[in-house]
Amino acid sequence: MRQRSSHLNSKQTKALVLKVVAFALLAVVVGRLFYFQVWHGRAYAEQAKHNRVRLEILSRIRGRLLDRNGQVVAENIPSYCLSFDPYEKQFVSKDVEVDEVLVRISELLGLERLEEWRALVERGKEVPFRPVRLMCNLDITQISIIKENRARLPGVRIEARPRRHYPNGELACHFLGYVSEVTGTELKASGEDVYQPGDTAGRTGVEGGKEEALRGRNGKEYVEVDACGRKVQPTPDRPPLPPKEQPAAGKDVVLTLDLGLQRAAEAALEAYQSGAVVIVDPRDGAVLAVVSKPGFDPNQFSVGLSPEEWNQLNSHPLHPLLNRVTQALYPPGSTLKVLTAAAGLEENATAHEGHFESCTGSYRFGRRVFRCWREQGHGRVSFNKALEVSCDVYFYQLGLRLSIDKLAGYARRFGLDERTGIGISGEKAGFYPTTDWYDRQYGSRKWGKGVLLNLAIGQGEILTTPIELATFCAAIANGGYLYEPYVVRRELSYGSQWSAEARPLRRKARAFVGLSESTFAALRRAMEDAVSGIQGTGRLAAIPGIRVAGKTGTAQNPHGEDHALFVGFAPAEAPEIAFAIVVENAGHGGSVAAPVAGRLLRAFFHLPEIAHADTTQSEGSLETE
Amino acid sequence: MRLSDIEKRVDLSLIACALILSGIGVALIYSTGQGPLAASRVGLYFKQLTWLGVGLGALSVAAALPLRIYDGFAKILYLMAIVLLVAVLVVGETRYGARRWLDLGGFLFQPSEFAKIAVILFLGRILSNRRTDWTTFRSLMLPVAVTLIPLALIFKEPDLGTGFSLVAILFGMLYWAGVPALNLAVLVLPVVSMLCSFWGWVWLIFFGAQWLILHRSRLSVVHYVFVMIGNGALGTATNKVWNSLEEYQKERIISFLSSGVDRMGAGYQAVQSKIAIGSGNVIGKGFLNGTQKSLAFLPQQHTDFIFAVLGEEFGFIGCCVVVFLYAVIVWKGISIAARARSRFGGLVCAGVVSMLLYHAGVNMLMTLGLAPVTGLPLPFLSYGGSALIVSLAVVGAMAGIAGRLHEY
Repeated sequence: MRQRSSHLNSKQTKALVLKVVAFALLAVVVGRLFYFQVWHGRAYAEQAKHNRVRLEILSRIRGRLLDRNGQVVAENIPSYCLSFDPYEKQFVSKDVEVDEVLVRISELLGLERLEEWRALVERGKEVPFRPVRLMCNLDITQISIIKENRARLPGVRIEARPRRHYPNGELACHFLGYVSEVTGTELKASGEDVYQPGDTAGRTGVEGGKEEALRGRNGKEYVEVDACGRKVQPTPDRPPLPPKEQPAAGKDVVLTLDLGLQRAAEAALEAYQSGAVVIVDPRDGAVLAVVSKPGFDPNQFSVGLSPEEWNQLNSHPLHPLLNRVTQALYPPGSTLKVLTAAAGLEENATAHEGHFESCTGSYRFGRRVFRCWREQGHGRVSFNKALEVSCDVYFYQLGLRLSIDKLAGYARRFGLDERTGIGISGEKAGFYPTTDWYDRQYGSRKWGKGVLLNLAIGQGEILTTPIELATFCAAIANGGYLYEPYVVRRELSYGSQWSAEARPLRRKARAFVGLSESTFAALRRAMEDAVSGIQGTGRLAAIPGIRVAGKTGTAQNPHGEDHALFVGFAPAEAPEIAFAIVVENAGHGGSVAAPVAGRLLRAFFHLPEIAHADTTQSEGSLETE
Repeated sequence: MRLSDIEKRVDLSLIACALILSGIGVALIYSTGQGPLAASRVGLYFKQLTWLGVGLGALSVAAALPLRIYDGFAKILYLMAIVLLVAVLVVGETRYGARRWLDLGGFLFQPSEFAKIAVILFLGRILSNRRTDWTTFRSLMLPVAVTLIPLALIFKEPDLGTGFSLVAILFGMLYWAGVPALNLAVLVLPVVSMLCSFWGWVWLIFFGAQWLILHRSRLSVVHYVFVMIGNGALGTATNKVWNSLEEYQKERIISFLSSGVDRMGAGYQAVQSKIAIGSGNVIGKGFLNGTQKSLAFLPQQHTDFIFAVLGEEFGFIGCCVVVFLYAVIVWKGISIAARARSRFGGLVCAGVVSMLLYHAGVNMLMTLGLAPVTGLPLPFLSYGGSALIVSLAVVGAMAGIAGRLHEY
């Protein structure tokens, strides 16, 4: 045995074995070559001469988007496209020149797009037998002109293709996103299995986020074609072609969107040029409405934007493509007094309020004077009253009992310095400064302690997105659970029915803000008083029969008029919605943003709208921060 | 230095074969750039010529370096390869859904090609240790681990074709190191069991064969029973798990197994490739005259399916010449391995031969419809800088070893 194994392991034997393996492998290759090229050579040569296999792509259909009650918010409608096959028989046989036909089309339709078409055809020629799409969305006159002149237009076909359609136009455009044709780089990166030239892909919003589920899968069919690319019947003695693969439609996606509420929210912002509203369900983080004003019509993208239209959208001073709910950072103003209040309660700083100076309209700190928004002052106020009337002087003093880093720590616990994780791309994270940050920014001890006072009333360098404010509010409403906001409720197979089902889902919270129950209760009470109290700054958000909690905010804006903010939730005893409202350059939170909240809440609780005149009247008499 | 002097130091015929193959490759790439539909491939032959120039430099350096340098740098090269493979997963460029390339200022570098050299050298270093008893199973743990780490990273890209070339390298080198063939068979048993479990009677035959192999290997009875039960359980589990999968999950696995390949066209490519090769007949249609090449669109005719272009334009004779050139390289490589006095040198030759044979064999069988379509270049012929440079460099190394057989 020993001897045999050493014999087996000698180099010469091993070399021989390896050589035999290599020889066998290469012999199989040569044998197979012989089989194809010599044995069946003639048959293959014949086949090569007359037949070619062509792969035809069977287009898929994109899944629809439904709101939480099953109403369709994005669907597909047929659109007629003009396609052109530069490998048509008459071109291959040189009876007609490609260019001639292109000129004829442009004359018939009276369009000046010859250069564009020539370039398209030139590029399209790289992939043989695949028709080039010259233009889409033909109207009925154009279709009939083409059909009438069919005889003079070889290679020209009209094909119906699905086009994405948003029946409500601009409504919820930032929530839904839009679709547009895939780019060359995307094609290269994804491979043909995922996208074919001319396919569309979702961009931003749910269209972008759920692209994989929505797009479906293209089918394919192999057809035998002759030298001119015409289909021929497969003959029986040919090797069988791979089987046909049917296309698979994309999934229908049921959103958390509440179309009625979305409509009400957009209507509530009607009077203003720009702003944002986001409404979430504090019980599970479902996003019920996303308004970012100004918006755009996603249908424009399905049809195809001209370069001018695109430039117009892109260079619009108010940035309609920006999703203000997730991508715009606003100074939160007094809405974040709620955070200072929470920190004050938790750190027991409110216990010292007996020693706080009463509000005389300003507060002296060192050599600087910090003003309260109400010049006359609020006098001596308790914690609850301070939040109700939004007394700056009280919060300056509360801030001084805390520290910058303590406040920043609470901001972090509420997730105000990170993305909420909403399933819409491009979300930005908010910012809450720390002492470290000030040191880096201005140099160690080169900045005054006064910044703490500003932070305590939500001014200064703090930045938040509306969705962060809404989740912050939801966490106070539900007793400290930070849910990741979500936008998709379910995926269904294409074309299914969905009946309304409004129950919140059982979800695991992303984080738990571990504050004591009494802190949350105190905050909720104070926020309720801010709406229902006689002096409450958010009085205009009040609606009959429902206990609403909220907090106004007015963010100083260096670029113009102040931003008006309002955050809140309702019903206060068992919250079902939480929301954040920002109205840009519109003035005070109490007079501008609070009435917007009132309109939303009326829509949510199915209360009649109040006449517009009433609002303006009470607005005039209202004293706000 | 006269040619005869150089010949004393390196094996020139080996280098000649590699250069002829590379030349044929450039010519074929030029051919795929001709015709009305070749816009995307025009001028690629010139780029390939440039890589050929770089590759020649790599070949010369590789041939000139003494073996102890390879031995000394093996570990560092291996670590570099791992770092590059991790880098490619983080910042790599994506094509056809696979992340395989690093963008080095316009040149897309494929670290998995570099990893092959690194693995060959590092395995050579490990396996040249004479104090280890390579007939035990325990001794296999280190070389297997050294192969599996880059293998896993390459699979992650994903690039299964190249990943499996590491397996070919490992087995070739283990065999050369003196690991009994039966032990190697035991290593592959689990995989075979997983595959066989899908057909009842094939699986039974597998158990018979397994019993024979284990019976003759040096495993103790306890291990032997353990392996039998383990493989049985693995096979059963594979079958159960697969059958319990949803259709779309199966789809995903299949799509992973064929990753990096334009799957939409894979079945189609196989048909086209067969027609193209078959229609070449004995002498071919002539250089630049391939109709299937220029009209029927093989999407990867200049890379993975270049053998089909060769078959169409140069026929059976042309293909046989190329196969013969591969055979010479492999033959010479094995002979050099057998003659090398240095154990490390012999092992490196064995690894290089395994790698080239795997790449050439599997690629040709793929174009001939006998192997699944997994993106894998044909050494020397396919368009691609990293693969060409690496192939030339390893041939240079072998030629160098041949010229200095007595060097340690």
